[in-house]
Amino acid sequence: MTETLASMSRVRTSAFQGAELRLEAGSLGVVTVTSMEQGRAFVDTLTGLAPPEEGEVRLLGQSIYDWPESRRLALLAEVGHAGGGLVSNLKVWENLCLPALFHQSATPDEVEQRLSEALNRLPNQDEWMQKRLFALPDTLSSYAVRMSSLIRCAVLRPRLLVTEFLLDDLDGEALERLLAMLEWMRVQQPKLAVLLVHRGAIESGDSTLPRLRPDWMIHLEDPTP
Amino acid sequence: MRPAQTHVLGSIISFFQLTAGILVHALTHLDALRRRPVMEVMFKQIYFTGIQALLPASFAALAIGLTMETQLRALLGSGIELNVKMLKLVVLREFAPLFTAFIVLGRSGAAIASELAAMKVQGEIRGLYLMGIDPGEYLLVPRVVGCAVAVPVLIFYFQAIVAGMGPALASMIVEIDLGPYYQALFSSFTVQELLLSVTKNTCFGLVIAATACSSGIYVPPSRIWIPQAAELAVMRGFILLLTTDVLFALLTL
Repeated sequence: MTETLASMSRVRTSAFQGAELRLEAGSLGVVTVTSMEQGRAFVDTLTGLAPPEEGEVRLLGQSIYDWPESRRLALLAEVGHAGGGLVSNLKVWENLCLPALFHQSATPDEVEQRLSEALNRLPNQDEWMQKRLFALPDTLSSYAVRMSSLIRCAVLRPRLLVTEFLLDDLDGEALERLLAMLEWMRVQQPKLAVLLVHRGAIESGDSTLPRLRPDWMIHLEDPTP
Repeated sequence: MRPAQTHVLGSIISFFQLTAGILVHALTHLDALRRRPVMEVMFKQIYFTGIQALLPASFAALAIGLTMETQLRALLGSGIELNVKMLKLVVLREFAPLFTAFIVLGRSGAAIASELAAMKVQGEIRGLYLMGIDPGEYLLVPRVVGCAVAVPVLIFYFQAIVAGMGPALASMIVEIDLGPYYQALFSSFTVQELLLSVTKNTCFGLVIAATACSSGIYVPPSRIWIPQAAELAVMRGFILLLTTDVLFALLTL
């Protein structure tokens, strides 16, 4: 039987309504949103940061709002978050290792091994090894920040990966590299479930999303007044 | 009570609640230090608060040691007993800890507050939460513990320079018989006094860290509040340090 890693049922918040989804192990789902605020509200609701006004949210098989915060945080240790969110006073390599070392989900040697494997997937790995890893995040381009947050998840090896605007407003080589890394992570971990939160409507002919061959796509509705 | 007064009172109460909450949270989550990244942040905090403050603390301690010693000598004459008593009670027990704590408050307190406020503005605290990292464990525990370790050590260092180098430097200006002076000074300390001093100095470290953390977290998530957070940390820390000092002074009456 396939395990359901994330689900929402009749969820309504002040930012969106009618969220119905079910993400199973190994699958890829796309949630399109109309604004960044709506996307953030969706991610906050899914991860237990902001309770919904109505409906049920389950994460990794558990109703996330039934647990005390300490248990919720332990649950989130198995969820990766990509799209940004690097700690500005840590160097990039420290950011990449932070979640795995904090949760003690891997030994320092394993973390180094995983980091090395992920960096080997990059066409410009020398630049990463010599410059970017030792820089502070605010010196990175938008693409490099997103790639770093994706590599951080590759090091963490979560069961569920939630990406927040990871592929938005990118094209050309940068987009290809992020897609390639995402694909590689799914090959490495066949049971990894990926939930992409993307800004833009499905109907607008966004060419990125169909390329990912998602198992399902939903569009969040604005709440009715 | 007028609405403005109620607002100010409410802000003060909520700030104290937050500061006390941070202190309690940090002291009840010390097991977070077993995690390597938390331990690293604590060592960085000790480095920034303690080691990087050595130079300004050394300079201030030398200047105060020299000034105080020559002034005491001019005021009290050459009697060793009275000079030693004044140096110990006024300078070493009261002035040196407060002065060192103010140096740390101005450097590390302001830095911690603005750093946390910037993290809040940039959504980094949310980012930590989304990775399952308790911001309280990762951000607050190591800063509070780091300050609680670094501040008493720095104060001890400051006191040692004032007591050790102050009379030596002053002896180049006024006549001091250093041998009997040091002997009288160091034999006058009791274990109880030392323990009380360590306790007070550790409390200073806790007060600085908790005030700085709460000022950083308390401000609204807007860029204009980042420097305000540093200012709040220094002003509130100043008041709380003086209050703590008064409480300890009353305890030792």
